[in-house]
Amino acid sequence: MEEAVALSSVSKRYGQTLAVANLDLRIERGLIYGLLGPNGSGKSTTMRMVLGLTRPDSGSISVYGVDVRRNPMEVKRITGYVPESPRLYEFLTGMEHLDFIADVFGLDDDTKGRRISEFLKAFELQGRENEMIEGYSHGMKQKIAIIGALLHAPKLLVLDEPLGGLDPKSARIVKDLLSKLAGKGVTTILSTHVLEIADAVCDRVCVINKGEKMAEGSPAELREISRMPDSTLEEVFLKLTGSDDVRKVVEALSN
Amino acid sequence: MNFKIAFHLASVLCLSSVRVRRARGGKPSGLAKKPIANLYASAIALPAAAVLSYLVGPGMMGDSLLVKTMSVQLLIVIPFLALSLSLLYSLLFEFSESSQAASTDLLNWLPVAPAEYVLASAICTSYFISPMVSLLVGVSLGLALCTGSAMAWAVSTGLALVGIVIGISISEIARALLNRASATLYKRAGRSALAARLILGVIMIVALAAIFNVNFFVRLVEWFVGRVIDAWFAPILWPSMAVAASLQANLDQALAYFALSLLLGLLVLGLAVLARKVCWVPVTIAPKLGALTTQKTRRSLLRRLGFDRVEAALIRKDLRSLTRRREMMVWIAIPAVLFIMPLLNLGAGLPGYASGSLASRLASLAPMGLGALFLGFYLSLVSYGQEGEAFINIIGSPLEPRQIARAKLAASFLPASMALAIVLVVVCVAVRPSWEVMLAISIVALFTLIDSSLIGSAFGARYPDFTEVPRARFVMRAGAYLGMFTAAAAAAATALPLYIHISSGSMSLALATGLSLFASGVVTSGAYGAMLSGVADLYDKETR
Repeated sequence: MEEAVALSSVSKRYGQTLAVANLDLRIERGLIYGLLGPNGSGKSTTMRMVLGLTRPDSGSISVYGVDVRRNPMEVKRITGYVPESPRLYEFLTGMEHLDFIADVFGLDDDTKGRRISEFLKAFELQGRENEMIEGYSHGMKQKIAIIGALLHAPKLLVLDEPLGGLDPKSARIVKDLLSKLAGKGVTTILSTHVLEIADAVCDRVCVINKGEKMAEGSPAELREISRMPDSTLEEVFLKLTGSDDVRKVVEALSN
Repeated sequence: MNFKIAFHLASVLCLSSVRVRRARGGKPSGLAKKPIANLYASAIALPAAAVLSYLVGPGMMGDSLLVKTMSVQLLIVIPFLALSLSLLYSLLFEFSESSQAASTDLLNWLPVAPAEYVLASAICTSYFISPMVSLLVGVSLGLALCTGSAMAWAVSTGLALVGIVIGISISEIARALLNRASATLYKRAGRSALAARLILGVIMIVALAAIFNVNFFVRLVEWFVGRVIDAWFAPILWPSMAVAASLQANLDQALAYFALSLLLGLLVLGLAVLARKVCWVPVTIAPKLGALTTQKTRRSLLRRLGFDRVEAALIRKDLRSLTRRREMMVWIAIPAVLFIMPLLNLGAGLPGYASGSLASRLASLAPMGLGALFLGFYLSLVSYGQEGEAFINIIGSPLEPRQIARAKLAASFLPASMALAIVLVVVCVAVRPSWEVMLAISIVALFTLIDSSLIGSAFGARYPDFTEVPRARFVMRAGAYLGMFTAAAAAAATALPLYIHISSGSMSLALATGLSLFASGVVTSGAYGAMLSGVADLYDKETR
């Protein structure tokens, strides 16, 4: 299979702290690729570097063969991004916001109208689309951010905790949609702390800690690597990231 | 360049700006739905101002030479005014952004080219300043028709548009450079960079206020008429010089400066696009990660001043937010302008500052004192509302209303008292009153500041505005006006006896000081009680 995203020896430093250390990733087309790691492990920095929002100190990144540093605009055109907390024009209505996003990505009027209607209906936002976003709940804002990322049918989806705040039905829609899109060749990079979601949705998973790749493979392969075949992904994750002494911490805190 | 994207983005920026001031949740309606009021206003302002100045102008001025002079001055100044107006508006808008800042982050991962963004921003700024520019152009048209200078008016108006492009482009360059500088500072200096950014912002606002004060403006117009032809070395004056040359029927020079102005506009516009492309840095997610440190417990200065641990914690939090929150900039900038203007005039050696009676010399520095009083008043007035929805953290903590009130008051009074100390030093050095008068002034000023802060706190607690979106106001309008009126009345009552002594000598210094302190004592006790009851009521209301 061809590569959708390739990171070669990518490093990023913030002051004295190495956020990402010499990271190599090869993500094949049509995969749902999970990035897992504790807070501050370098997941968001990695995702932002893939999007061209943060410049790596060294190494190279390409998305569908496009060099991110040389042609960031082309990468943006083929990518949909949902940040950890939704960044929206709060003073536009949901409809105005999506209309703007669709225009920016060059959707024609027919496609724009059809896709916006479909998504609004699927995410049960119909009837609220003409209200200003600032009055929406967190979950509704998240839905608008997800629709904004999907509207232009991107080749690559970069989703940072996309299911946070979503009701169960919408979360299920997103999960099923990602699987469907993967079948059509759309690649997804997904960061989440909910390891059940990663286990259920991701084809491959990469565990990052302190900016370094700790392990990579399918959830089943990770269980093999960590010699915990019957464990949950959460237990595997805790072992790989060296944070499996949770019981001791709880003991200490409760005292 | 995709013009469709640029125009759509411009409408998004305009809508956001209008709604951040007007709309509140739900479906937008009226002007907030489709903000075309400015376009209507501009369309009406131009002909109305032209007709009015054509019909009334000559009658009001009487002398036809005066009409001619006014017309010439206005035609020459308008391109520069348009440039300044667009620059000023853009910069002030940049500093007024609060909740919108986050939404602009979205543009970083959308395929919007720098040129498209700059064009959209320029259209948006033009939309907001258009009524003002139309008014100026309309007045100048009326006067130009009276004096038969319609051709010069056309040149002046065309160059005003070029001036707008130059002004907006300069502001875009400044915005991109400031963004890069603050991102770099952010990475290198961490939290201190936030304070540096705030101070930089206040300095910029003060500098703009200094540049655009009336004295400066009058001198500028005189300077324009007298020397504009000699100012070839200042590119931002080229549009005005083209108008001046055309008025003198110097066609060669007029054409040369016209062409130079156009070239300058294109060059600055290109630089703005380049600056956006090269310097713009998307919000950094992890600006500075330090090594793990252990919290050390030490007895702080605030504890030594008599505040308990809880109060000290609250004061520290408020002082930090004062230096780190962008929204607080305006509350610091207004008193800062009042504070610094007299210093600038003092430096310029204007009459009344260096000579005159003690009363007139003190009066010339009065705005500085007002600046310190305003600072204490404003900060305490907004001290409750600035918590926003996070006020729940305070009422959810084991804090007595009295502790909250004391802490909020102290967090406002402490910075203001430092400003007052500077004022008193300036008064001592510049005015040189006798030590008895200086002592009396110092005591009365200190008590007036305490009263202002108490009154601000009392009204701030009674009328807090915890709304975060749209646009944080921190205090309800009614509370702000009532508070201002009360504080002004209290300050006047406290200062009056001492003022009478200094201006006329009809009252002894001891009596005047005593009366001032008595008035202040009455205000203090009343305001203190009002503050405590206000906070207690607020606490009850929020916990009900």
